[in-house]
Amino acid sequence: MGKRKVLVVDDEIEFLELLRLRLEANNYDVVTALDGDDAVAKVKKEKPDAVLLDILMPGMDGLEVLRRIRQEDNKLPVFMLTAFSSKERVKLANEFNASGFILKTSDLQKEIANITRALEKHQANDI
Amino acid sequence: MKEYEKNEEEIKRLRERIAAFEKSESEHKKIEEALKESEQRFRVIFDYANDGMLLTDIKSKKIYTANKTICQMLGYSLEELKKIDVNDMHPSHSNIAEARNIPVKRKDGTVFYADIKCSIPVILGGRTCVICIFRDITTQKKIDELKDEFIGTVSHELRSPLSIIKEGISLVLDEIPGKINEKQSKILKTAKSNVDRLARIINDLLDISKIESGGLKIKKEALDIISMMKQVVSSFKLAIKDKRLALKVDLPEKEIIVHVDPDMITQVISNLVDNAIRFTEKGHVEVSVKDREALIECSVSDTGIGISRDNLPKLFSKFQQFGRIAGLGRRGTGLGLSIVKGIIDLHGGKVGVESELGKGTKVTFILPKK
Ligand SMILES: Nc1ncnc2c1ncn2[C@@H]1O[C@H](COP(=O)(O)OP(=O)(O)OP(=O)(O)O)[C@@H](O)[C@H]1O
Ligand SMILES: [Mg+2]
Repeated sequence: MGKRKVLVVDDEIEFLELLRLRLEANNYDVVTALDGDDAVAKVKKEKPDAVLLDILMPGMDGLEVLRRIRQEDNKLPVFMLTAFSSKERVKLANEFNASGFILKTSDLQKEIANITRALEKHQANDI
Repeated sequence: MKEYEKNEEEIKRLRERIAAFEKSESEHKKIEEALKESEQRFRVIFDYANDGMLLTDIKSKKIYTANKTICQMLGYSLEELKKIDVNDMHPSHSNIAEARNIPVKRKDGTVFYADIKCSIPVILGGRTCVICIFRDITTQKKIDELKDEFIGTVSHELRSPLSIIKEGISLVLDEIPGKINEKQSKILKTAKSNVDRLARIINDLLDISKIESGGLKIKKEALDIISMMKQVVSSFKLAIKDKRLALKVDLPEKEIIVHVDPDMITQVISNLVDNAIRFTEKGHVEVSVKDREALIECSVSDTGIGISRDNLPKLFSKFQQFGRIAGLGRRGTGLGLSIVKGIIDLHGGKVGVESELGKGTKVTFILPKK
């Protein structure tokens, strides 16, 4: 199986670049977007296998991006990135059918391993 | 006696009586004036108090009198107030001695929140009345909201750079940019564990400030406390093994369903088990759950260093640390137990501790099942 393409969306460019290194080390192709509009456009253009999406961004926030993605594609795995877990936000994102949550301060190697497993399962179900 | 002498006598007596009458008259006036003055003095205090005050007839639920402040708070004139039923303004008015954060309806239908205090009943003009004092807490609430918002923003702003520092260190530690040596790895591991510590402190501070401002809302769910207990304890298995402690579990076999906020109660159990392990060098850590009809009793005990009698009363206050051991091991902040108490209080439960220096500690909390 070839490399999976993941779109990472975060307004915090430094975090984005670190996450890119981590994902590439885990055999992902990484595309990045710095804001919501760019993210929506790149989902269409790049057709990623998964999206890692920051919730709190200036302008169009992650929840709005998720809502727009869901209008076009109900299946694309979208994992929400967040600096802290607010129950309200988790609930909202679940309403829009997010695939999971990643706490930015948690062990990202573990989180990405979990995502890889989830994607394998997702693809197996698709076939 | 001669006739005229008799008359003289009579006149004298009359004069005396007139004098006495005049004296009592002026005394009366004095008393009346004093009363008036006293009434005026109290009226001024009453009207100009910062809190709204009402004198209510318990039976008829009619307002007997009210101060200016409450008229302004509610938007009614005194005459209008005397006509309304207190139940229209806020329910179950006279049954409370003291209540916080009570919604009160104004004349225009809008609502504000008040802390209300009611006196014991007093008899006034044959009527049984209570005096109720209303403190408008709108500003206080606004301040609490702002504080919550501020802390929320600050914690987010702190966590964002923290996540970058942590991931930066982790990447190097995981040797993704290239190999590192033992010494470099050791240094980076120390740095990373302290980033985790900082993240934990931020979380705890956020929790405690929310608990204190009443901003933490519980979301109760029906769940089995036994499996929750097992789950939390199993996440500490490694730490228990590392310290070569024994783990005892005394749990009923059948599940016990309780209605609690799962995240919060998980945190309570974690904080207690974390303490038990951290302050115990040899022996065991034990968790137990007991079914007490409408209640559930959970405890975490250990055979550790214990807490002195002097320190026990301070145990649940913020930033209190008595067993701070120099050297290695995770250092705490002294917030764990105050969060425990805050959460248990929110659930309408109770938490208590028994401890003996050098012997061990047992923390027990009781929760209503519903
Ligand atoms: N099981 C225990 N045995 C002995 N001492 C204890 C025990 N639990 C708590 N203490 C004492 O009470 C203090 C306060 O406990 P608390 O859990 O609030 O804070 P902490 O554990 O020091 O830090 P934190 O929980 O915020 O990481 C501890 O520092 C310790 O001195
Ligand atoms: Mg503690």
